[in-house]
Amino acid sequence: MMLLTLWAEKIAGKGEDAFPASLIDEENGTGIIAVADGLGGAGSTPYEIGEKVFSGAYLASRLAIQIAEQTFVEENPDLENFIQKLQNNLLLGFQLKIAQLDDRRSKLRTRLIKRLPTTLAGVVFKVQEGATMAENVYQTEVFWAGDSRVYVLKKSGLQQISQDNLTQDLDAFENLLQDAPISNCINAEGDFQLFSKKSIFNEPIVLIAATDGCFGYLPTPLHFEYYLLATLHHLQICTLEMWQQALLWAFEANAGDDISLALVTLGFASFEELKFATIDRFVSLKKLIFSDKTPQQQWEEYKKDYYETAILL
Amino acid sequence: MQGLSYHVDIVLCIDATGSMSPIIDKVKENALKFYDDLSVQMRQKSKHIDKLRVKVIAFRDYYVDGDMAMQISPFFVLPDEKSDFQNFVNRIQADGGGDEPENGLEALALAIQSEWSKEGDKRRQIIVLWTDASTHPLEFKAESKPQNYPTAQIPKNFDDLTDLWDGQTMNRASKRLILYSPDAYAWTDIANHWENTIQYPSKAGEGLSEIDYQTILDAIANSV
Repeated sequence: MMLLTLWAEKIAGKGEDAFPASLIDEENGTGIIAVADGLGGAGSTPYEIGEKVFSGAYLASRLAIQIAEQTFVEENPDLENFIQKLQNNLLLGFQLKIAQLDDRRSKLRTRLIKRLPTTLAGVVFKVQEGATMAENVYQTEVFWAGDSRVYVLKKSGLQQISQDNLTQDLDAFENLLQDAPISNCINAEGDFQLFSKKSIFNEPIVLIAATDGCFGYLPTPLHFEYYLLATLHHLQICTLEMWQQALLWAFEANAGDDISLALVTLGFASFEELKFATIDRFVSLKKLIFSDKTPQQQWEEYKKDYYETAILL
Repeated sequence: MQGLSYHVDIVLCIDATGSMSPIIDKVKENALKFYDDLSVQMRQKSKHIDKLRVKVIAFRDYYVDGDMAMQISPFFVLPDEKSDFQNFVNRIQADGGGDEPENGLEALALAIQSEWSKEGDKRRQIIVLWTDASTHPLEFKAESKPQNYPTAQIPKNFDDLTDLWDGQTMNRASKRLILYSPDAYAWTDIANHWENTIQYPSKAGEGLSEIDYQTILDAIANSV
């Protein structure tokens, strides 16, 4: 397994994305990656902690990641009830945190502002080893609340596994243009749902959790995969660390927001093997992106395989 | 942000009836500084506003104030037309209105139907309303509306007004409604049931703490 994390703040010290969760238990073949993006609009309430002031959004994303990591550590390696435990721990953890912070409630009346609101999206995984590495099976359980995403990158391309919780039924391209409000997020009121989906993969995969700073400011959803592969296949990129730096630069150059991404490779013996496995896909994707087709036409073609179609457990 | 442009439209609805006399100067001061404060807030978030426009609706009561019931400015492009905007606000005098309630819902309906910018990659459409009074139900004197009552533009009842807010007139993701209004008909219903609204329950914002004001500005600036 290879692990890569990206994190950058638009304004130093004010980043509403938490540093991503990324824990791997090599011995048991299990792990978790997750990201959280505090909702700056809904979570604008300032809280004084010591001599510093933090927004509810800032505190919420950190808390969500901390709880996700703690829950993984508590449950690992048996992850059968992970999602239920995580939901319970989030409910309790956020209630305890707000009780600690909030000794006087604001007079504002609104459904727009929530206490400690954040997205959370991630995946726990378990490698079932076969007789050979090629016979490995990868069990995953994706979880999400909000519009941060979990993707799987396979030899055939990138797919979004999580679903965006939006107030409107928009696909990934439509939402780039319309920027619909989020319909569900983790918060201290407890009125949230942690969605989840179990899938099984019979081939090497890359699991990716990302906040909207990584994909929400690109011309089309294709470009997220394009940046992943274009940096991976750049001639000068020959190590995971170099890929990490190139990817961060690529996303930072486009993003209007904080960035948080965690990525884990499952079933690839080396960085070179990952490159080899994805080169054909990169070539065909590049051809599509630089074709004469309009962004809408490119999306229509890309969309056919974009939404995850793995074997659901 | 590279490549994306922000267009922000603000409509300020100010109750200009007689009962507002003790606080009208403070409300006008708040109205004049709102766009400055929002601009500062957005700059601090590294969000550059490409075009900011502001419009003012001073409202009273169609049933007693005749032609003075609704004074509506065009959109002023800021900062270029700042002095026109300031002059319009400064000319507002708290007068008339008769007894409570007032035509706050009519002002809100007209504000919702403003000529919102369709330009820019990202938009924010904000209505801010200050009042110390409850509102006439929209059905009030349905059969005998005053001659200058803009019947064609005003929904027949509160449900229709709610539909107008929920509909396509304003961009669903972009719209925000800030109410500095008492806990009275119909403001409480709006705050409890309409999407994307924030109410500070008081007489036209009296007693608003700095922390709550900052929260409101942040809620708008952060979500653009």
